[in-house]
Amino acid sequence: MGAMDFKKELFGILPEIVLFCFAMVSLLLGAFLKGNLRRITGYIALLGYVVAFFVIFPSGSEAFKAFLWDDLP
Amino acid sequence: MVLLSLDFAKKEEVGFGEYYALILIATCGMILMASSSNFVTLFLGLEIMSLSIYALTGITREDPRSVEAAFKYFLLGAFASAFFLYGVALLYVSSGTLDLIAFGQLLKSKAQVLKDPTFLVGLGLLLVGFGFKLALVPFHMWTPDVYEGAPTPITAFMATGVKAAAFAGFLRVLLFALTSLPMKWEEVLWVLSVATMSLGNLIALRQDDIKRMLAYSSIAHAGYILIGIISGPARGYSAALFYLYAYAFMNIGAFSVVAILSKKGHPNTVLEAYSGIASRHPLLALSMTIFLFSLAGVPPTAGFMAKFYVFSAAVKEGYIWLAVLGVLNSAVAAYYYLRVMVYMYFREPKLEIQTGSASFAGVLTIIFSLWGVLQFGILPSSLLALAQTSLRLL
Repeated sequence: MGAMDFKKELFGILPEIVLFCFAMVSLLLGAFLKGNLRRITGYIALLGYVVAFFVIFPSGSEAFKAFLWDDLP
Repeated sequence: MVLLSLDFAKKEEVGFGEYYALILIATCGMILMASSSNFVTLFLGLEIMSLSIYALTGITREDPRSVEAAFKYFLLGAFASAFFLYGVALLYVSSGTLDLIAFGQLLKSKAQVLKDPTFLVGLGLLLVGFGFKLALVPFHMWTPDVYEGAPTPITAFMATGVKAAAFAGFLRVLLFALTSLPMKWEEVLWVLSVATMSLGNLIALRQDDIKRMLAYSSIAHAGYILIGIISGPARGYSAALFYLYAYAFMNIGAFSVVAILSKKGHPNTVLEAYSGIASRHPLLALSMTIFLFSLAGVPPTAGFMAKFYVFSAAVKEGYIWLAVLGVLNSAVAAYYYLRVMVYMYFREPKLEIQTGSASFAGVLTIIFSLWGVLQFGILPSSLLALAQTSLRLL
């Protein structure tokens, strides 16, 4: 697999990677925070969806495509 | 759904990090299912989604109904996953590939594979696995119990997200792997669709618990979506996707109202609890009315446009009887949706019922759902274009 193919594959699973990262951050914060502060985990989850939806999903991903595939001839 | 959970987590004191982490991981599984091009990736997505949902169903550990629902869902879901995996294994034995596109090409070039009993049994088992996740009759038994016992935001997540992901996975298999299937698979789906619509609607008529009623209604809606899939890729698939989008807005909206009206220790899901709600919570009652009208398919809501596209696709592709049965079923469904409205507007409360109050997050969820239901009911072209784009991306 060439570097280009790898970038394309990576781009394909970026939404999953982003959501998984946010899930782990939410999990960690949930383990350490106490009481009402744990509500922050909910806002982290919301932010995860917002990032995944507006930045990475195909409709809003032109900037990412350009960033990932800027070595296209 | 996460917005609704912010309110729910506070009310039910489920403020743990794992709650949101599981929701995000389940979403990863759903995206993986919808973007997979291989039977193994599809199964992986299905399991990532399912395992998270099992845990989320039982997240309110003090509530025995929630734990019972999680256990039932886990046991039946594990069986369904096993059926799915056996199906995939048998398809691999008969074809030698797990890639959806290669599988489709093999079916085109080697007709003898289609007569192989291993292939036919594998295909049947795969359909059972999908049937369970889509809650198609006769694989729907888990749905009412699980929807009733699960926390309401999770029920909304299951009714919309899980269904959408399972339909997306199913569409991928139909589009890539089973395009050249010469046998009349439509006839099998035809029977499943009619049975799913009819049984779902008929049993929903007898329900006195709103979550159980919405569970049976979700079974019936799976039948309507199946009409779009039977109608084929030319018109039907985009109509089915439009239906899924519209269904997500109206169903999340309806479940949001149910979640807002619940209180810790008072789930308020029996229809009697909705008596006179219109006088105490007029805006909530109005919102619920709009969501129920949309679920019933009354214009100018997204539910009407969704049904219109699905039924017109069926008529254009020659499935006239299927469309007629769908319309008849919609008429039956209107009765139980209107029944909730009668309770809300025309019945006096017999009992003193303690209802919850709407938080900012809850109100935002309802406003967002109302926007979706009305916007795509009045101006559906943007959503239809999105459905067609999604289909191309599949």
